[in-house]
Amino acid sequence: MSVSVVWPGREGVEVESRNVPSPGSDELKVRVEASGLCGTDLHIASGEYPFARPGVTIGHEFAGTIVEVGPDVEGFSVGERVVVDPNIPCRTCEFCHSSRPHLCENPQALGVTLNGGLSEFAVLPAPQAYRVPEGLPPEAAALTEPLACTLHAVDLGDLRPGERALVLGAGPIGVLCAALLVAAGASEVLVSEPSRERRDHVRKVGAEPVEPESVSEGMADKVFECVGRSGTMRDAVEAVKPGGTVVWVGVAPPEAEVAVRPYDIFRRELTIRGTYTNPFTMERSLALLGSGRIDWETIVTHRIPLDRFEDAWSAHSEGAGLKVCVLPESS
Amino acid sequence: MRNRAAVMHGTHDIRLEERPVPEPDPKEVLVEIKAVGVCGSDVHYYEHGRIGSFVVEKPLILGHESSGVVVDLGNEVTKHEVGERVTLEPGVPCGRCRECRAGRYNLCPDVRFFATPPIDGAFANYVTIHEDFAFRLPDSMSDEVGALMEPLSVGIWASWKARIRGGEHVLVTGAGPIGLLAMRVALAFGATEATITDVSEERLEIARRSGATRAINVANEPLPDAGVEVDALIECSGNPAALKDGIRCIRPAGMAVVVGMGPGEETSIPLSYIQSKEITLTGTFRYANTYPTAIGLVSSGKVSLDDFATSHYGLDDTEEALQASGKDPANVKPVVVPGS
Ligand SMILES: NC(=O)c1ccc[n+]([C@@H]2O[C@H](COP(=O)([O-])OP(=O)(O)OC[C@H]3O[C@@H](n4cnc5c(N)ncnc54)[C@H](O)[C@@H]3O)[C@@H](O)[C@H]2O)c1
Ligand SMILES: [Zn+2]
Ligand SMILES: [Zn+2]
Ligand SMILES: [Zn+2]
Repeated sequence: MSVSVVWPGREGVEVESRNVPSPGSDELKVRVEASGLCGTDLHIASGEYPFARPGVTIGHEFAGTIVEVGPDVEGFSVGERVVVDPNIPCRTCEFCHSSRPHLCENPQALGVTLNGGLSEFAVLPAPQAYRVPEGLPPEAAALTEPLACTLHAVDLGDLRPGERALVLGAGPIGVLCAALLVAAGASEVLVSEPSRERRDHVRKVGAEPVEPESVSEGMADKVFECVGRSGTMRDAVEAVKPGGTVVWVGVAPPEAEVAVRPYDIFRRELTIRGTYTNPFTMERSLALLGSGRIDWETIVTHRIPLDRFEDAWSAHSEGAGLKVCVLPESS
Repeated sequence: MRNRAAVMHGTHDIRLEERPVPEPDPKEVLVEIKAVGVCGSDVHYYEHGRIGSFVVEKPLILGHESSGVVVDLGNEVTKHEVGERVTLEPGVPCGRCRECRAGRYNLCPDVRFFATPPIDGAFANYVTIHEDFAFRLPDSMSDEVGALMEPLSVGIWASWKARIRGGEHVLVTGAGPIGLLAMRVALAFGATEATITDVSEERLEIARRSGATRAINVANEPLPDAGVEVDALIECSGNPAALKDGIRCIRPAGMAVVVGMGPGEETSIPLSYIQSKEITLTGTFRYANTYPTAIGLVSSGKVSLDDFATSHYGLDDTEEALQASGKDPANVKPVVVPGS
C-alpha cells in the first residue's frame, strides 16, 4: 500500500492509503523520493482545473528510484534514479506529428489525468523518465519539470547573450526564469517583485531585484511576465524596448483580459508570445541542474515529509518561501 | 608627441620607425595605444607576407587587437572625451553598402581593417579611428584585457552563430586563443558541457584550467573513437581533419560553425552525414555588433580574461612577440605594450 494525496473530485485534497499496481509492459514503478508542489495543484484542489480526473493522485514534479521495471522496458533498471516528464502526448495528432507535442489534442498528464507523484510509489510510462545525473539530490531533480517549462519560455524569448532582461514576479517560476537568464549570458537581469522577502531570493541567483514602481517604459530587450495578472501582462508590454519580445509565462484566470494598444505593437514592432509546458527541454533542464548552474538550494525553501502533508499544503497555499518539496515519510 | 611604429617591410623583417602622429578626421579620435595582442593573422603576414588574396606589397604596420586612451578629438566627435580609456574595433565599414545596411557590416567589401594590407594597424604609439568604433572601457578592466575584446568578439560571433542555448554540449576543435575564447563564451552563454580538442598538451592544460569539461588530445585519442556527441561544433583549428571528424560528433539538427581557416580553398566534408542528420554548416568572418556584449561579459564576470595574456613585450621587441607562440605553444597570447 502507498500513502497518496488524492483529489476526490470536490474541493480539497485527501491523504489516503491506496494500492499502487505493478508496472505494465512499458512502465516503471518508482519509490518517490521528492515531489514538488505547484500552483496547478491548488487549481486542481479548488476544482478550477477542467482536465483533472476525480480520484487522481496529484503531484507532477517528482523524482524517485526505480523499484520495478515492466517486461518490455529497455534502457532502465532497478535502483536507478529518474525524474519524470508528466506530460504525455498522444503521438498521433496533427500537433504531435509537427513537433509540437505540447499542443497535443489528446494529452494525458501524470498528477492530473493519471496518478502522479504525491505518493510513496508511482507508476509511469518509461518514455516519460529521464535518468538523474550522479550526485544530484532528489529535491533538486524534482525541479526539472518546472525548470524545463521556464527554459521553454526563455527559449521563446530568444534572448541574445549580452541583452538586458526583465522578469516580473519572483515566485518559483520568476526566480527560475531569472536564474536561467543569468545562465544564458544576459548582461543584466532585473526582477520586479513587491515582497521584500522574495526580492532577497532574487539576489542569490545573480539577478537584481527592483521594486515594481521602478519598472519603466522600454527598459529591457526581453520581458518575462511570471505573475499571471492582467496588470503585469500590460506592464510587460510597456517595459520592453522597440523590436523586443514579451513572453507571458504567468497563467491568468481564463476570463482575464488585457488592454493592449495595437499602435504600440505596430510602431514598436513588438512580439508577444505565450508559452505552454516543456517541449523538448527536459534534458537541457537536467543538464543545467546537474552542472550547478542553477542554484536549486535557493529555490527549494521547504522540505516536509509526506506524513506531515497538511503542513506542506498550508505552506504552499500561503505562498511562504518558494518551492515546497514533499519527501518520503521515513526521512 | 613621438609616434614610433613597428613596421613590416617583408617577411621576417620588422623595423622600428618614427611616423608622423596621425591627424584625426572630423569624426575620428586620436588614441594613444596602451596594449596590442598578437594574433595568428599577424604572425601569418610576418611569416608568409600574405593571407589568401591579401598581399603585403608595401611597408605595413601589423596589430589589430588594441586598446588605449583618447588624446585628441576630431571637431565633429560627440561620443568621447579626452582621457577616456577605450578598446578599438579594428574594422571600420563603409556604412553605405548592401551588407552594411543589412547590419552585417563584417561582410562590407570596402571595410578598412587594421593590419590588413594596405591599412596600417596598431603596433604604434598613436592611431586614429572613427568614433563609433572606439568603445569606452569600464575602470575595472585593464588595458590588456581591453585589447582582448577583439578575439573575444570572434568567440561571441561563433557562439551566436552556433545558437548556443542553456544546457547544451559544445565541441570546440583547436585550443588556440580563438578556440579557448570561443569555449569560454559558449560556457558563459549557458553551455553545460564543453569538450575541446588539440594536439598540444600545454594548450589542453590551459583549456582544462579555463572551464573545459573534457579536453581531448586527438594525437593520442582520435575524435571518432572518443564517443563525443554534441549540439554544436565550433571549429577553431583550421585543420581539415578536425572539421571532418568534428561534424560527425554533431547530434541530428545541430550546428557546425567554421571559424578556423584551412590551408586550402577547398576541403572535403562528410556530406551524407550532413544530409541525413540535417546539420547546419556555416562559417564566420570576423564579427559585427559584438563589442558591447564583449565588454558586458567581462565586466559582469561571466568571462574572466585576467589570466589570458601570457607574455609582454615593448614596441622594440615586436618581432620577438610575433615569434613567441611559434616557439612555445603555451605562450598563447603575447601582448605588445607600446608605452613600455
Ligand atoms: N573566422 C574569423 O573571422 C576568424 C577570426 C580569427 C581567427 N580565425 C581563425 O581561427 C583559427 C584559430 O585561431 P587561433 O589564433 O586560435 O589559432 P592557433 O593556430 O593558435 O590555434 C589552433 C589550434 O588548433 C590545434 N589543432 C591542430 N590540429 C588539430 C586537430 N586535428 N584537432 C584539434 N586541434 C587541432 C593546434 O594545435 C592549435 O592549438 C585560425 O584558423 C584563424 O585563422 C578566424
Ligand atoms: Zn507544475
Ligand atoms: Zn497529440
Ligand atoms: Zn559597407
